Amino acid sequence: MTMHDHDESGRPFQPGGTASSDPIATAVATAVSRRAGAALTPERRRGLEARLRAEHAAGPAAPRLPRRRLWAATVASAATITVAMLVVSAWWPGDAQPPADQMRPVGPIEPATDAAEESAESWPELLLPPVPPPETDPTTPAEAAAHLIAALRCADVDRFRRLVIRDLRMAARISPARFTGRVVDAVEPAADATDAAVTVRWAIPVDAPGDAVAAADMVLRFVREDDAWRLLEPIDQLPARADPGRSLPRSLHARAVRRWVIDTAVTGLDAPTLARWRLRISPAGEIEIADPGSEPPARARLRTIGTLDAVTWSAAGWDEPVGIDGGGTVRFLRTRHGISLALRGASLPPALADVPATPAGVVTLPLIPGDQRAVVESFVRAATCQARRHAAQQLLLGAFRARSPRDDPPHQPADAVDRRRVALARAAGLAGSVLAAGLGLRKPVATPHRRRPALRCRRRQACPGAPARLRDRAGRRDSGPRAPDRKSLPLRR
Amino acid sequence: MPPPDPHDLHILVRLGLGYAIALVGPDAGGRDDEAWDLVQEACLRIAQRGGPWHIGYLRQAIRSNFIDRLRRSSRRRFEREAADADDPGIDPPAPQADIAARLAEVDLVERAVALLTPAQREVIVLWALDGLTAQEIADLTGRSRGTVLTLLHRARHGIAARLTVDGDRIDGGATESPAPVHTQTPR
Repeated sequence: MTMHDHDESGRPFQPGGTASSDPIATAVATAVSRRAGAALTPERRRGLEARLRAEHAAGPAAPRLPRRRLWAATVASAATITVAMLVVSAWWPGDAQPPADQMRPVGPIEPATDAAEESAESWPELLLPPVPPPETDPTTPAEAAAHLIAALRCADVDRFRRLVIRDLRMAARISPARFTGRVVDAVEPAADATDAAVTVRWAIPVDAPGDAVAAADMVLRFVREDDAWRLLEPIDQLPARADPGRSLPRSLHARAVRRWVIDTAVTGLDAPTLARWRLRISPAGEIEIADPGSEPPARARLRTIGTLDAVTWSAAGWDEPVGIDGGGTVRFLRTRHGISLALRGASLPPALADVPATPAGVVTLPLIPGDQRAVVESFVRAATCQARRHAAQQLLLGAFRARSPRDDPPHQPADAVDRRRVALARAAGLAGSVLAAGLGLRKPVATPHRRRPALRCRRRQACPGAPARLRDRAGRRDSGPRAPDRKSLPLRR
Repeated sequence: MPPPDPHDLHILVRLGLGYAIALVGPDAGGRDDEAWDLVQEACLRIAQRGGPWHIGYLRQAIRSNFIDRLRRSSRRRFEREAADADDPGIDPPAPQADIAARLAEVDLVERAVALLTPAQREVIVLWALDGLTAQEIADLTGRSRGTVLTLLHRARHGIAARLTVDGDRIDGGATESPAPVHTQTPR
């Protein structure tokens, strides 16, 4: 018996029969079909039909803009945009009637872990008194959904926050002072729906770039890690979602999304906007972006990634927050040390005068975790050869980041990205894991030279069965060591 | 494209639900609810995109949705989770006269299917319930046709082995013969 079944002629799995005439197939089909029939209850069927009708009535979704364009448009037009879609689902699980205490208050909300690190003065609103229950408990999912939507539409920020905290338990870190949005759209379930899923789109006024960042930050504070990508979908399609079901990387958790927002929010801005911005990194490792030109002054705090312990700009002799003069780009780079900033057109302190800059004026400042003294020393060391090399590496990473993963699906191997630039990065001493992190790949990058066969033995090139000669990207023969003519080989083998 | 009329939608959803059930696994711990969630979310996605309302598209949406969920929860279901497990669902050997009756024991067949690996389950349901050919299954699941045939072969043998009573197989193979299941072969 071989791996497959054989028919009488010995050929494996030749046509000649159908599944419908096979007893096993019939038994399997009966069993699965029965289970499917039991799972497809009339209530579910009606609920699905109602939701599909509602979706059809709502029309097709608006086409998604590339994220850079969207963010740029956000800042330029200073308009109110819909920045997030909150999917309030599973008001209570399943089709069962909600328990009587489902709508009761849950008591004071403990701050989340991250919020607990911050001072109580910054977030006094986190410790809330018990929320009074609604006047009448909803008896059906549709009623509950209508209750929620009414609460959202009234734009009572406090009530919304309490609702979210009570029912979703995911917004314990939101600051109500920064939530100024209005619900613009809500898709209600049908009256006979058995599921109280409500789709709510709420708009956050974007009057300043700081607000845009604050909005994105606020949205991220709403979400659980599992749902971060879903919330950001209306902003734009994440790169990993370009091939749904296949390329969603495991690393796409909230922090990655947060990094994505930071990167997008900062690099997508235009020069005049950047000129107004002020950046500060707090001792807690948060990057604070302030826009003093707006009224009231916009201020956003973005939590960094990596292990950035204590970095302050003042430690490097910068009495004032960094000013980005003359426009340019600010790029956050993820490195093995945590995070780096690539500034162009920045007013650098004298200690950094020797930091190498590209002809375009891009300077990369490595921010080494540690105490302030270590930071100062690291900046002083920026003039050394090692720091130059490090800066070169960062620039290379920046070049990769600028290209990937926007242009290349993250699951593609490195050779599909760009062999030459990978080789260049390797030559600069960049570790494969670092390069992989910069590229958004999960595995360390295998560089082309690892795949090349050894060329030490010239005879091997001429031996039968030897690999074909390498060719470069243009299809020309590689200029490596040439194999000797076959006739010139020594007779002795 | 509007959603199909209720009758067509019912047929479509039922087919999709069978496939989703094959993906999520045995009926325990609310798996059927999970299968229903898969189907419902896939239907909503199709509706948001405006169609097409086609079983192939629905299957692919369900599968993508399922893989999304798997990755999101960092679960690994496509492993041989039940391969080495004891088989609590198999009844003790029955008398010879009951062999034919086992064909109609849907519960037994259902438990035998549930004990397959997820990949085997997916393939055999697509083949048995939806009537897809091996090549069509390969196109849908992203596997090669040979892999699909292997999975199908092992799934059928797995079911047959679990339904074996005193050496007989439900497909009528000889008692003492170790020959493979000579039934209708998939295309």
